[in-house]
Amino acid sequence: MIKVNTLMKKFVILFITFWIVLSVFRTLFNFSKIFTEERVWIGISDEQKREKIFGPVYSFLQIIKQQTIKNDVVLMKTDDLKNFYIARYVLYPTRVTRGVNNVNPTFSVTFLSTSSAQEINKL
Amino acid sequence: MNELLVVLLIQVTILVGYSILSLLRINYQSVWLGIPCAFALGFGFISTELFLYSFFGINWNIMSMLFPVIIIMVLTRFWKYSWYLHFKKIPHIDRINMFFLILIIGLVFFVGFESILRPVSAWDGWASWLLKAKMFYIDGAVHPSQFLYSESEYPPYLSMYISFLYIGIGKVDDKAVLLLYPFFYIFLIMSFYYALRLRMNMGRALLGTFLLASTQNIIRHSGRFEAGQADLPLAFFMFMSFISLTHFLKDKNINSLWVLEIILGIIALIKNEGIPFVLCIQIILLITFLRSKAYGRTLSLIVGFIPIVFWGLYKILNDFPSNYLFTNTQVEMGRVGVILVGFVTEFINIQNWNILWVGFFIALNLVLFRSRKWDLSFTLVLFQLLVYAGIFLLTPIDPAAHIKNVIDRLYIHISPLAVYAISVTLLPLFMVYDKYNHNR
Repeated sequence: MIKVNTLMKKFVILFITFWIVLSVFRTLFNFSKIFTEERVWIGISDEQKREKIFGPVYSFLQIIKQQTIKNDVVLMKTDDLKNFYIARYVLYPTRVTRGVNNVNPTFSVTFLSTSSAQEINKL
Repeated sequence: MNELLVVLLIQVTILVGYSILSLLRINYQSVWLGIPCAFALGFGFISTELFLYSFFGINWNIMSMLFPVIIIMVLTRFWKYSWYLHFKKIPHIDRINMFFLILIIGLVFFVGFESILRPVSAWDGWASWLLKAKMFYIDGAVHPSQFLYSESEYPPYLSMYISFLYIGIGKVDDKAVLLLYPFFYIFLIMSFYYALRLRMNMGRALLGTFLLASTQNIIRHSGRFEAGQADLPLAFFMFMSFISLTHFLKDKNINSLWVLEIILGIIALIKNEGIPFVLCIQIILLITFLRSKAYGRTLSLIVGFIPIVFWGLYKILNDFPSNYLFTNTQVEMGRVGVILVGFVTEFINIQNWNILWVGFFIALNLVLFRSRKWDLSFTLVLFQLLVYAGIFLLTPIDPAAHIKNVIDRLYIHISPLAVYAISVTLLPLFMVYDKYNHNR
């Protein structure tokens, strides 16, 4: 087995030095984000933050939340699967479904991101 | 206010873990390992407690949960093991070491700040882990129907622990519970420093710890945007099991083995990716027992397997849908090229990893061809990488797209072990550092 020679040692020293410099630079860059890109998050309310994260579907879900009760089942029609999963998370314990198999929906809602179509119907 | 309650509940978890360690008469004599290990055991105890309460129809509330804990504390007289007071006299720290220490502390505050800045925003966070936590808390129990509704057969322990935080807070607050993630980051850093300190001087151990702590993908999962998922917790538990394994191999104490087996059991109930890792460690233990003719100890391996078997049976008995990864039983060897490209692309992804993975392969080269000593951490990292490659040979999804979506999260699990392997192999060659670092 070949031992680690001087050239290899020099390469390792150079490599680790580069890693340290890169890590220190990126750490400082991370800290700087508090004063730059994170500023937009600091001054806004929790609801505004959720709207920013989840998109326009969040406000729509708040309306549904006001109209439904715990045991309701919402049949959701949407063109983006992400909206369905957000609805499932935000509305629980009200259940959200995509199909009518084995469930009796009490509400039918439509939310289309592409055409901004929104509809809530009690069944 | 809720954030303060979360911090308090994490302290309670540590006390629970301390009681278990007292019960096993284990005293690590080090806060760097004692606190993370106590948290790991407390986390497992509380999640198990919630599951059993649910099974036997006992109400979930903070008093019913703390009752058995208080009994254990009294029985073990855990206060006798006052490990919190075992801080040694703070040594003089060189300027260069102070510099890295300040950066590490700065990173801890940074991830803490980031975690409470936003509600959960990671897709898997709200679509799976926090959804289940919300369901468990609102329903006050664990039901198979919750897993079917969430379309996820992933193990429940992380979500159950978050439910415990909700119980303590008294409501669902998916912003406050994200503070759990900086704690995983802190405990990972503490245990990592401890592990390195056993092998090298304080300066090098701090440097290695800084290289891990400043890895961008770990920072993201600890507080920035990706908090709320199970990958950082899994990485923490996997690293804790590695430390426990090295401890046991050194002292051969049966109680150290119990701690290791309990942690392995918890890993299997955090995320499925932990199961092959558990098998790997159990095989290492089995070989050790057979070599030393300690046949009786092989029975203790059952402890680590119980949760895997129990969770497997729970899924079968309740007709959980099988994991989509294994719906295709045919191994498609033609994908090897795509997998290799996907893996290498992430290895050189500086934005996520700095040059961590390049360092790992340099270190691997040195141990394979340049007479540096092989470390167990290499075995575990390479084994886990092979498992992940194997999964992509099976996946029914287009492997290129699948790798792109998940590979950064898979590498998180083994990144602490990889940095450990790099540190023990390369940092001893970084002798120029000793000119500025006099801490021993």
